[in-house]
Order: sequence, then structure tokens, then C-alpha cells
Amino acid sequence: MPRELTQNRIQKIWIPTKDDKPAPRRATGAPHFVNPPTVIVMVGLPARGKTYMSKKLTRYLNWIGMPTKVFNVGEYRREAVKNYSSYDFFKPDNECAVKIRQQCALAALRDVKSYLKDEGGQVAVFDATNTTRERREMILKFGAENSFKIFFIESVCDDPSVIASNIMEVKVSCPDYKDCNKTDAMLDFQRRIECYKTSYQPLDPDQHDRDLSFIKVIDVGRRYLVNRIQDHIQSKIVYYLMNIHVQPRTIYLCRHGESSDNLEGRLGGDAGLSARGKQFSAALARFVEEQQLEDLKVWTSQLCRSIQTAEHLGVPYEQWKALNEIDAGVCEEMTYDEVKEKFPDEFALRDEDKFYYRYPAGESYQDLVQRVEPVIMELERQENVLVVCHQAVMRCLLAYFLDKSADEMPYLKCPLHTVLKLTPVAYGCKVESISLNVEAVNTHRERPEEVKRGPGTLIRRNSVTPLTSPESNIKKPRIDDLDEPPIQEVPPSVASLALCSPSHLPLALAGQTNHPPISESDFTLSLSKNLRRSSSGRHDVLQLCQ
Amino acid sequence: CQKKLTQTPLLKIWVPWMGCNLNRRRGSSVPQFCNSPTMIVMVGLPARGKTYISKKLTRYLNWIGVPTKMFNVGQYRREAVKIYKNFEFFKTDNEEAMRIRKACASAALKDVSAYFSKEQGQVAVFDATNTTRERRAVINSFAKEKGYKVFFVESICDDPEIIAENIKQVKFGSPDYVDRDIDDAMEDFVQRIECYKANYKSIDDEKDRKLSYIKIFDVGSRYLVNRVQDHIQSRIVYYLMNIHVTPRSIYLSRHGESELNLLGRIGGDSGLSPRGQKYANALATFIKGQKISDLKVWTSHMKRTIQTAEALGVPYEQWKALNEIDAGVCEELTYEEIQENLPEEFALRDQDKYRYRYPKGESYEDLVHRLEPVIMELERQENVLVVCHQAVMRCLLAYFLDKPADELPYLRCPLHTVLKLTPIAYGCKVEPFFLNIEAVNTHRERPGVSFHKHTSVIIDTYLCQLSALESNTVSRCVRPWIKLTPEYTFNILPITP
Repeated sequence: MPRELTQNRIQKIWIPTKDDKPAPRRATGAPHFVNPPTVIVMVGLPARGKTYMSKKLTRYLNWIGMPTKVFNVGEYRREAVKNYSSYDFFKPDNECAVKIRQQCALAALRDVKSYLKDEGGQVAVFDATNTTRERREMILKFGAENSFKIFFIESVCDDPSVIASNIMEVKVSCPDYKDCNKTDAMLDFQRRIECYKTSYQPLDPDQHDRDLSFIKVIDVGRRYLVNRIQDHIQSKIVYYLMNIHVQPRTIYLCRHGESSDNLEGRLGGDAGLSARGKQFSAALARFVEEQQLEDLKVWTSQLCRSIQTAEHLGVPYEQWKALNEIDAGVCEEMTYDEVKEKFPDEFALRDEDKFYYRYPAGESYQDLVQRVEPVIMELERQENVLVVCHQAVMRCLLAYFLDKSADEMPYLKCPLHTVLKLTPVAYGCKVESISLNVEAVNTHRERPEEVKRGPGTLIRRNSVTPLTSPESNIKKPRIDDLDEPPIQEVPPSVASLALCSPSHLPLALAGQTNHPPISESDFTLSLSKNLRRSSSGRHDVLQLCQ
Repeated sequence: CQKKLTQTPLLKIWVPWMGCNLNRRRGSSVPQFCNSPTMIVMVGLPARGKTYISKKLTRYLNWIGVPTKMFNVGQYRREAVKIYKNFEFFKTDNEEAMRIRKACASAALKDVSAYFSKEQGQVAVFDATNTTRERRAVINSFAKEKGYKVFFVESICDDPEIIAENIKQVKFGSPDYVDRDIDDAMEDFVQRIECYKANYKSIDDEKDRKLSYIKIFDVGSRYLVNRVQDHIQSRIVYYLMNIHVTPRSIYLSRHGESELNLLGRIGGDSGLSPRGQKYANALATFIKGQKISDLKVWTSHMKRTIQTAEALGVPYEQWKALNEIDAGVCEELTYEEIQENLPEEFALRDQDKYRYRYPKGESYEDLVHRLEPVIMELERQENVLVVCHQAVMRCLLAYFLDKPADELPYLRCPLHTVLKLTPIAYGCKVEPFFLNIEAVNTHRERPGVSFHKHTSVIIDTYLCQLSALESNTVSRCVRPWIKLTPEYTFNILPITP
């Protein structure tokens, strides 16, 4: 007998009514491809960009809706051994240290297991050197025991200049070297690499490792060797890794100029610019000129207001339908008040869960993430790009770059007439918010104070790495049998968390009126200094640009 | 100096009223990334699947809207030397034959350049063995001179079983061996491979480090990718890494007849009619009868496809990307109402149904972009049943049958009919099954023509039978379903250079 279908009210998904399990097919825009959980295992000498790739990949996978977390064995080691003295620790004949390192790896694997089995994780990134076959065998065995799929990512690079710049950029500022001058740190780190080199056994695609699934990234993406991809997620990972690059560049995000619908407080629609919107377009043209960018690409949506804005720039631009504003379905061109009046239930539902809420006959933020995924992929490929888009679309893009969770994404502040300048630095992304000093209406609706959570609140995208996760979620390394007890207190990472909650983002402070069009980078810098002071210099989001 | 924007009536793209180069705002759903033309150059011994890859890639690129053509040097050779005797032709010391083969390659290159300059081609797939460094150097300098980008695709395979299978699958059908017995042909072909082996130089990872290429080892168990230059090359690599040759079938079906179908209304999100529900049950029986291992079932997010899949009693997955074309302001209207209320829109749609975008809705072109991830995942998967919608099914079918944009929106995908697609050799076998449950006809004929002149005869034959069945309301068949035709084979690309 066919079961009756009911439409789930938030996501507008048809589900069988008499189904015991709640929403068995958690509808993301695309199928979930019920795969066994995957452990991504990094392989490579120190300073080969393993942590960079791990973090970036984790951010991407979380953003596309695949709960992913990094397990950095170095963090466990630092947790276990508070005072790093020198590379001697990494010598293969330092038996005590070898034991500690082994324990750290085991502790990290235990946490991987509980993340994938009990905490709803789907992908764990095991970030360590894993340079010996013995270590990799151990991980493979661990995978087989728990039926996790294992996928190796090996970064191979012999270009001394790449390695040196990598050390300068991230290693000398690492907690291991906090009381050390740069030259000494550099020297020590190079010796540390030598310690690993003696026992390094690269993945061997011809014989020993021919049956493993892996990608070798050679010379920072000049070449890739891909072996035995097993499934959808591995194929996605490979495609992503093949599209990212490390060339310095800047991405500018802004919304179209104020539209006549904005003035009336109407959602969606396809109206043209208001008089102030045109002023903004002209100001944007001047701003872009001042930035003196080489080969700037300009992308717009296919909606009139973003194209009108780009037209003022007097440069070629390209239109993406994928950048169109969220489709508000039956609510298009209504004001919030009208929506509240005509569809009071819908209005309330949206507040309940803004990320998953789908407008009747329209889209949700979750749908939007699916839609703009090709844009992100192409943004990763490109160098300097200005994206002239829309509020909800800009929030999705920004959430990707700043690693914001699904919960925060729909409330990110993206005011009109303000350009966000994103510059990748180290493991994160520097954000400067630049108001172009043209007044505009405020289109931001704050998160309602009392949020009524539905009974079946959906699982959140887990967008945290060990260092940025709330205290309660941190899995402390559990090394019970170490002689050396931890010496220092763990600096509470909560402090850094508070600093990067949405309301403290620099963009929130960017004035919309009476400011000369100046960069707010000073603010960003001081914020970053704060982050450093709270010893969380490795925070993903706001990194001090050196 | 505010420029006025005007929305083009057909594509619904905003363009500046005056002047301005419209090319750069071609307003397709994805930017065009104005690249220089690209030559994809195949490399590898005979029977390594080069032609298979070439055809498949050409079909994919055309479908996503990148004009692509394949140039098979073997065809030029057959054109030049009408009668193939034996492998001696391919011996390296056969000077006359060498001259002919060189001339064929040059002729093909000339045609490549004509394709780029006169026919707005963007990608040319140069399908030949190209096994020597000299030949590749010639191609490289030709491309450099003309300003084309070059991307090499080398297929490397030493597994004798795979090679033998490949020879059996496609080479026996080749015009070279029309009147030869199988063992004889096999023997000759193996000799032919030996002729090439003598001079074969694989792309060298050191010497050729500056070239852009992908090496495919043992039918995709491993890939080496070097210096991907741009968007299109990255897409090609991704595609090649997702295709496989494991035998499987894809079943395409629309949802059962819906309440809105009965009323002749387009779009909407209504449930199944009683006959639609019957179809859902019949589909369940049919699928059970097929005894498919590990069948995946995909639906859209719309009620009618989910109701249809529910009847199957197996797990299924929902894709929003499979939702029916968004008819914008025309949703839930009948064609008559559209004609009456929006006569201009109605006429425009007939003018260019592929590119026509409904006001606040989508075009078939938009749909193809939306469906690209579905096609990519279909390529990855094995047995799949896709329960979708008329316009969506047309787009998917066009991909598998290599139908051009102007035929795509008129492909016949009647209700209550399953199309079983099985990849064979270079093409795809299509078997339609009408499940013997009546349904309304939702197909609107191309105005003015009853059958498009380019539509292949075979498709017409089966579709005529289908329409006969559709109109002949009560079918007298006793079998639970009717297999309409014996197995028809549609070769995906006509093998004409």
C-alpha cells in the first residue's frame, strides 16, 4: 500500500507520513550517497602544505554539507609535551619521544573513531606526517576494523623555495617557536624535516601501494597522480584539490547597488537601481580603479540590479545564473510585513531554522549552497575576481571563506554599498570591510531573540576544527600513561571564539554613513593581534597578515 | 551616463541597450571563460579506448554547450585508401603508406583549423594514435602557430584481456574488417598493434613536463594529471575521472500521471492520478522483473516522483536538481491559457524552445546546467532508475543519445514508459517499455512539422509505435508490459569526419 506523503514544513520535502524514522532521507539538494565514513590521511614531510590542504578541504566539505573535522596530531603532541625544546624530539632514535608521538597518534585515532561513530561526522582528516609504511599500515588496519574508508593525500614537493616560504609563513609562528627568533626557528625546523627524511617512504603506486586509494599532489599542484578513486566523495575531493591554487590574489564581494525594491523593503524581484544605487555603482567603479588590479574578472548574476551595477565599471563582465538571489517563491516582491500577514506560519518557520527553511515554491539557504558550489569551484581556480551579487548569495559565499556554520550563515552581515575584500593568508582569510560611503537602506533582519526550535532540530553542519570548537566539544588528548604531566594551562579557545562571533566581525562595524571610503584593515589587524594574544594564532578565520 | 538595460525577450537576459559587445555577455547560465580554442590530442596504441573516450568526451562537451567535434584520422585514411588489405600497411618501413598516413593527419589538422575559424568550434578532439614524439611535436607546433591550447589524453593499458575485449567490441565492426572472419581479423589487428609498438613513445613525465596532459592507466584505475591550464581542461579531467566501463543499465522514467497532467496544466506539485498510482505499481513489478543488482533509485523533490518511487518499496534518494523545468509565471497554466494570456511568450517559445526562458523561470539550457552534476553522478554509478519529469528526461536522454540542442526539447518521453539505456561499444542501446497503463499525452509537437527532418529514423519508428499505443487507448496486450521494439542500437556519433 502506498504511504501517504506529507510535506515537511521547513524544508518542503515530501516524506511518507507513517514513517517511524524522522525524515529518513535528510534532503540536501543532492542525494546523500550513503557512504561509510571516510578518513582522509595526509602524507608528507613537514612544511609540504598538509595542514593547509587539511583545513581548506575541511572547510569546503563542511560547507557543502558533509560534516568534517581535522585531527592534527601535532596539536595532540603539543598538548602532551608543553615545552618544545628542539628538533631532537623528532630524531628517530629518541625512544621516549617516539613513544609519546605514537601515543598521540593513537589518541587522535580514538577521537577520529568517536567523531565518525558517535558524533555524526562523515569525514575525518587525519593531519600528520604519516611518512612510514608502518604508520600507514596501522591506520589502514584501524580503518578496516571500523569499516571506515581510507583515502590518502600525499603532498610531494622538492622545491626549496616553496618549502622555505611555507616555513616562514606558518611554521615560525607556530606555538613550538613562540620564544624563538625566526632564524633559529627556521634552522630547527629544517633539521626537523631531516629527521623525517631518513624514514620517509612515499606512497608507491607501482608496487606496494597500488591497491590503495590516494592522490599525490606534486609540486603544489603542477602534477597529480590519482589512484583508485572509490566513490563520490573521493572524486569530489580530488576535483577540489585539483582546482585550488596558492597564487596570491584577492576576491571582492559586494551586493548590487540599492534597488527600488530595496527602498520599498520588498524581497527578491528584478528591479533596477535606485538613485543611491547608481551612486554606489559609480563609487564602486572608482574603488575598483584605485585598487589597480591586474586581470580583474567581474561576475554578476542575471538580475538587472547586479548587471546595472557592473555596467558602471566599464569593464567586461560575465553573468552567472547561479549567482541569482535566493528564490523566495510565493513571497517574491513582498515586504516582510506582507509575508507576516499573508503567511504567518511561513514567517515563523523561517525564523525557526533559516538555513533549512525553503520558501514555498522557492529555495532555502541550503539549496543556495548547492547552486553556488560551481561558483566557489571557479573562484578557487581564478585569481582576482569581483563578485557583484545579492544578500543571501553573498552570505553563502562569505560563509565558505570564513568557515561559518549553517546556523550563522543566514545571519552574516552583508550590508548594501559595502565591499568585502578577502585575501587568503596562511591557513585563513583576511577580511577587510570597505564602506563606499553611499547611504542605503538596511536589509538585514536580526535573528529573533526567542527562537523557537522545532522538536526535530536538524543536525548542524559541524564546522569546527579542534582549536576553534567550543570547549565542551574539544576532545582532549587522552594520554594516560605519559610520565610528563601537562605543564601549562590550556589557553581557553573560548576567548577567540567570542571574538569571531558574527557580531564581532569587522564587517559588522563598518559604518554605512559619514565615513570616508577607507579600508577598515586597521581594525582587522588589531583584532588579529587580539587573537594572537589569546594564543590562538592559528585561528582559521582572521589571520594577521604579515 | 547611465546605460539603460533591456531584457531580451527570448533568453530573458539583461543587456545594455546600445552598442557593447554582446558576446561577452552571452548570458548563458555559466560564464563562457573566453578561452582560446582547445585541441584534445589522443595518444595511445590501437585498441586502448581512444575512440571511446573521444566520442564520449565530445558528446559531453557538446551537451554542456561547448561546441566540440571529433576528428578521427583513421576515417581519413579509409577515405584515402578504400580497400584495407592487412597490417602491412602499418609497418614502419612501408614508405608509401607512411606518406598517405602523414597526408591524412595533415588533412585532419587542416579541418581542425577550419572548424575553429569557420564553424565557431571551441574544442577539437584529434583522435589518432599519435604515438611518436615527432607526431606530437608537429601537432604542438601547429597549435602554437594558430594560438590553440593543446591537452593530451593518453590511454595506457597492458592488460591483454581488456585489449582483446576492446578489439572484439569495436574493431570487428570496423569497415576495415567487413568481410573477414573473426580469428583472421583478430590476428591482423594484433599485428597492427605490434607495428605501432615498435615506435611508441609514451608522454615522458620529465621531458614533457611542460605539456598539459592526463594519462589514464588501465581503464581508469590510475590517472596522472599534469599542468591543467584552464576551466575547460579541469572539467575534462573531472569527467574522464568519473566515467567507467563496467556494464550497467540506466532506467529513465517519468512520474506516474499526475492530477495536473489530467487537467493539461504544466508544472505544479500535484500528486498522482489513480492511473498514475497504477503506473507506480506496474513500475514496481517491472523493476522486480528486471532483477537488477544494487539498483539505485533517484527522484526529484516533487510529490509525483516521490509517490511513484514510494510504490517501489526500496530506498530512494531525492535530488532537487531533478525537479521539472521551472515555468515561472506559467506554472500550473494550460498551453491554451498561456497562448491566450501571454501570446508573445507562447510564440517565442516555439521560436527557440531550447533557449527560451519562461518569465521568472528556466530554459532547457538552464536545465542542462542544473543537471550536469546528475549526469556526472550517473556516469559514476552503475544501475540507476531515475524517476523524473518530461523536460528533465529529455535533457538526460539527449546526453545519452547525443541529440543536438534543437532536437532536445522535442524528444518524446511519454508518460508510463520506461527507457532502458545500456551502453554498448561507442553508443547506447535504448529499449522502451510501455507499462500498459493509459495516460494522457503531454507531448506538444514542434509547430509546423510533424516530425523533424533530422530526427533519426529509428527513433521515429519506435516513437510512432509509442504514439500509436498512446492514442490507442485500450491496449490489448496480455503481458504486463510491452517491449515495443527488438533491441535497437543508436550509435551515438555518426562515424563521418
